[in-house]
Amino acid sequence: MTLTVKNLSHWYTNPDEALYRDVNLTFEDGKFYAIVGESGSGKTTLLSFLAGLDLPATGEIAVNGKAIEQIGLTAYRRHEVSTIFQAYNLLTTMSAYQNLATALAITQSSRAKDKAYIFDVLAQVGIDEQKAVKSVQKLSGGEQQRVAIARSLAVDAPIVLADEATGNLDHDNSLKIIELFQNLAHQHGKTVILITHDQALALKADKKILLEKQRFTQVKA
Amino acid sequence: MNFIKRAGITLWAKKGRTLLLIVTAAVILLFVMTGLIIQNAALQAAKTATNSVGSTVTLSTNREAAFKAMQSEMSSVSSSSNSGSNRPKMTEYTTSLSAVEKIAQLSNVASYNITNTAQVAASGFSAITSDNSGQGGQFNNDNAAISLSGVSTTAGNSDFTSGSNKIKNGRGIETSDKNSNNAVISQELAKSNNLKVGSTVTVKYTNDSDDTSTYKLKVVGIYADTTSDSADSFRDPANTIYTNYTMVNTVKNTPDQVSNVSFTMADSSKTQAFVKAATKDINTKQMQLTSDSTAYEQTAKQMQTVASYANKIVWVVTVAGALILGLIIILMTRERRHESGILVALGESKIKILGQYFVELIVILAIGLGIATASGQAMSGVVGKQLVNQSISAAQNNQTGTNGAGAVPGNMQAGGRQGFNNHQISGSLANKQSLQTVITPGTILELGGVALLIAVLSVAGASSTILRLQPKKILQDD
Ligand SMILES: Nc1ncnc2c1ncn2[C@@H]1O[C@H](COP(=O)(O)OP(=O)(O)O)[C@@H](O)[C@H]1O
Ligand SMILES: [Mg+2]
Repeated sequence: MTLTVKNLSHWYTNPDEALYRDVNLTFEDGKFYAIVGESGSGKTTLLSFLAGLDLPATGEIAVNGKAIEQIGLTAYRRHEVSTIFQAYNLLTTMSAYQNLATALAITQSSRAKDKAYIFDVLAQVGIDEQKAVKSVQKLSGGEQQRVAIARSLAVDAPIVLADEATGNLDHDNSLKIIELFQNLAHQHGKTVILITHDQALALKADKKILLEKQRFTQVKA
Repeated sequence: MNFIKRAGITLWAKKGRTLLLIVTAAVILLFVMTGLIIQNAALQAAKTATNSVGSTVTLSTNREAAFKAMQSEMSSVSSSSNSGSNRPKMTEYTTSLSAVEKIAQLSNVASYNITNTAQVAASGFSAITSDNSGQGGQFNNDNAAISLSGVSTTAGNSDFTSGSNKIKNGRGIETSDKNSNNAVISQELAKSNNLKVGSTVTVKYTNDSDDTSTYKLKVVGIYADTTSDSADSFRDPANTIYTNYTMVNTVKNTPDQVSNVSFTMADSSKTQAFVKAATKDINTKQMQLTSDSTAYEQTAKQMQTVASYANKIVWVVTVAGALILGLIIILMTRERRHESGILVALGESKIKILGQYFVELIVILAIGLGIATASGQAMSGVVGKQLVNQSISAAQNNQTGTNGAGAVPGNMQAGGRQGFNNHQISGSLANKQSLQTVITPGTILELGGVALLIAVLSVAGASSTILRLQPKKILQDD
């Protein structure tokens, strides 16, 4: 799926103080992108548009040429995109397993009741079955982040968004996750977009987009 | 279906919160249930209790018609100048025994009691003279001081059913006394004339043509008038002698005629239908049917008051309960905005999120309903008793008022009746009208409806929070 950002401008309160103006970006499937920028530069704001959680002041987001508003925001969120949030955003009343099962049920996946599949996905991010059935509140920050990643992997959406997805992980675990993302793009043909302030991490992506002085510049081909 | 499962997981994960909500719901539903039970019980009691109070229909002379007849007689008397000492008299019409028996065959007649009366004079014994009878001297005491009250049975006669008269010695008049001269006399009459069971007394009857005959009566029983505070200054009630109605017919030479019958209704609420049917069998120019359902209506009204009071409780508690639970749910929903936002970000529809909250609430209310049902019986029993006690004391206060009004001189007939009716009411209220506070499947169903209403209102209140939810908010760290 090709994700395009067309003529996007956004500001929160004052149009004269726009976060960015006339942004045009294209994200192709089978590629792993990194968007790098300083804290406060507007990365999470951009993610909220790409994830269909908010609409920009002007401009549009489109999938294969079709504006996401036309697809319907709920349908877009359910079937086209999966997001790994900076703050994990797990359902705290549930276990890791239940978080994944719930996400699968919402996306109407046939695997919502496939125990082996869910445990397998969790194992891919290093969460064993014992940890998988505990309340996620009893897991460490890093473990919770990995559950959030597993949730995104499980739903198998064509577009994967990650906001500082490795922020709470040690070096080894970070590398493993990056490998997972690369794998998703290259082996599974997904459109993977990682948002980070970490320049070193961004080097692992196929393409790096720099957000600086209200402009996005593609710096690596 | 997924949202139902989510509801279950949430309820289980947040056990403390779930428990608190269940307790709150149980308390609210318990109040609603108490109201519902009392309301139903009161409506039920209104039916059964008022039936037990009963109503009677009396067949007697059509006084209006009789009065008109008397007037025309008076005018004919005056036109044809004098007619001796015969002053015009109100005719007492009668109806045939066979007609009465026909009416008694109608449905809804539980029993009937005939009363034929004749005014006779004592012969060879003396009637009781009231010392307080100021105008008593105007009446010839010997002439018609004795009231002969011919009944079917004394046991069925209102003087005895009301409890004012009681048999002291011997026995009362029974159906087997038909065509006999057996009589029941008052204690006072027996004492002053030294009469006993087995004694014989003689009475004199003077008919319209001034012919006088004497009749012997055999005393089979002696009764005591327990009220004896009668305001009747004309005729002492102790001068009433009870016989079978056939004896009165013999005295008056009116065989198989009946002047007064009281029909006791099996179902008080069908009194008017009975009157309508029975009217076809009587000559309305002479006789009339009067239904006495004052006692019935008064009791029914009291029970309606309790029921409508309970109805108000139900509404107040339901509205208050819906408000309390609704507010709690709205606050909790606001607290759960983050959770809802995550679900929306995952692609869940907001309607299903509301569905989840609705299911959670239904489960809580269902358990609350179970608890309320289990403990509702005891609670409503206590409250129901309280309510009835209140309404009885209120009713008794009212009755004292009516009794006073009934005792207006010159209206003693009405006053007497009224007193009797009130006696009936307070007796039955105290004894029979405890509310049957029982939980019926209907009550539980009604309560379920109330619970559903509370759930719908609460979720409707919470819906604006969810529908206005901006999923982007979950991106902000908390
Ligand atoms: N809801 C909002 N209302 C107003 N200003 C906001 C809102 N969200 C973010 N901002 C501001 O927009 C800028 C970009 O924020 P964000 O997109 O979170 O940056 P980043 O993720 O790159 O750190 C920041 O200055 C932030 O304070
Ligand atoms: Mg950010």
